[in-house]
Amino acid sequence: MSATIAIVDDDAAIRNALSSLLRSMGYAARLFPTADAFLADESQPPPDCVLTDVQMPGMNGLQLQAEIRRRRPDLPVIVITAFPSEAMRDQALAAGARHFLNKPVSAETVASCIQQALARPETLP
Amino acid sequence: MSHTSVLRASTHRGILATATSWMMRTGMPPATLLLLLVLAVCAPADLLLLRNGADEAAWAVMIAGVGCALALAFSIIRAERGRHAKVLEAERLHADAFQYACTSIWVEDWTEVGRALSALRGSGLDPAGYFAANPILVRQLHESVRIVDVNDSTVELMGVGERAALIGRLKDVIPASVHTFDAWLGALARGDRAYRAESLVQRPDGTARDCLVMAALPTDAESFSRLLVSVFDVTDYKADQARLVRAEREVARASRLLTVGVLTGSIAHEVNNPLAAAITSAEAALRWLGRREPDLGEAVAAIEGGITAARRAQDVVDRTRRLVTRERLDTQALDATATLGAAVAVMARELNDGRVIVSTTVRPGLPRMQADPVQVQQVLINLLQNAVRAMRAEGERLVTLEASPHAEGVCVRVGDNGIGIPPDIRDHLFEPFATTRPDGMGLGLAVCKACVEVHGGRLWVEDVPGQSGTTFCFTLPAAYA
Repeated sequence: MSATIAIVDDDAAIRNALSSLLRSMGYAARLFPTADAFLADESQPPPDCVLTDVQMPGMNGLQLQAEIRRRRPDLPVIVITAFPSEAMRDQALAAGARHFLNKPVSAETVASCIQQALARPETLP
Repeated sequence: MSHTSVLRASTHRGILATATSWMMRTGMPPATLLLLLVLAVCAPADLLLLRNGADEAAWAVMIAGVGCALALAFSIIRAERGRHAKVLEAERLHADAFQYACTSIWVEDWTEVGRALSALRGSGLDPAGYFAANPILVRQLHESVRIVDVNDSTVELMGVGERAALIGRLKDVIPASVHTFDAWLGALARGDRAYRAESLVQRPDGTARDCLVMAALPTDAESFSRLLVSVFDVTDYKADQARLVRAEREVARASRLLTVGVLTGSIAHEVNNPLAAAITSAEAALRWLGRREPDLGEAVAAIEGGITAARRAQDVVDRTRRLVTRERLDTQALDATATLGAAVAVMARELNDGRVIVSTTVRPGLPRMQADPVQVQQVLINLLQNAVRAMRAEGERLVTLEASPHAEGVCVRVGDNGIGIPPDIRDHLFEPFATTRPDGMGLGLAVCKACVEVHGGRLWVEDVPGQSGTTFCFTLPAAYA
């Protein structure tokens, strides 16, 4: 059974493009337009990895990452943004993000990062 | 009647005539009036007594008359002395006021100019037109003007050691006056009551002072020989003004940078996401097609998603362009002379500060331009600003503005004799962020090009063989019939 990747992004074009890319790689994709929508989702099976944008209306990606860590410390989170900064990268990685990616991201990079994230489901202290 | 009697009577009449004349001239104090009355009685009384043989009485009257005459003479001398003292005091005050005034005052002899004006007017000629057509006469008149006196403030203003260094021909003392002489002649030819202008006064040591020059212009021929010119040194005031303008410009530039920063950030935000989506969709499509069993449906869906995202990015760019250039134009039929004049007026301070001389030519038979006045002003001001900034530090600084008929309507040329355009930037001149100035953003010409093109016109840089500097040309459509 293939892993399920949750994509949290307020831009539908990005959600759909990432979904298509991940599905072409054999993953199942579940799409959420907001962090709240993701946190409210109780679908089974739960996602194996989260790919989240940073700048979103309501709760942003870094806040979502903190909430995920509180609720499911074992769930790997990959942060992806179109407006990266060093401070944002440091904050995300310090808070436990497995990877910090810049949009647009190549298919190879996405594939590699997700593989690594799924292979290392370790829990952060 | 003896000769002595006639002489005595004549003396009385002479004294009487002199006293009357003096009093007519100076007014009539009461004591003098009394003496005069006695004298007036003495002369006929003396004659009458002599005629009647009353010699002793005649002698008494004679002595009384002489006494009165002496008293009168004393009174006259005293009054004259007082009047003279007052005249001397007034002259001293005038001399002090001139010499020690805090304002620079020049006394100039413009007699020849006065004569020329008088002769031209006497011949029924228009002096202004005649001067314009006879530059040699203007030059000769300029050479005829002499500085005859200056005060201490002038010596200080001009930075010379002594007054004598400033006395002589205007042409020799202030050679640069040749540039403003036309304006003086124009004011005199028009019959202006006063002349007032800002002028750069070159000192003999080569430095220059910004000055406000004022003079009450002569109203009669005699006054031309003593034209009083007041010169106020406004260099410090202008420096303060320039600092203020620089500060205003800095604020405006910071504001523009902020606007551009916000705009750029907004564009980047709006464009980055759809571009990322388009790229990711294309990669997804490739992967769907690259499978052992290609999934055409998924590939097509991904490609369509990519196309939609790319179009979104294009929309953002179009929207931004419309924001900058305003899609709806408020076009009017514009007169080239008024339009060019308005732009020069807006730029007056900057042109003046840069010591730039502007020559404007509107060719005859020029149709009016159908254009948005705000955008045309934006283009002209931008090009004039570039021209001023391109000027060399040395030499005459010229900007030429010319409007002429063109196959596409009207062609406006903005030329300068500055440093020209560096070859490495010439091909990218109209692209955003192309600039030779470290403090520039390089958007001016890009905006100008967009403004002209939105009218259906063109903007280009023209090479004029054998001429240094830069000439920008743009066309605008002719006004509707």
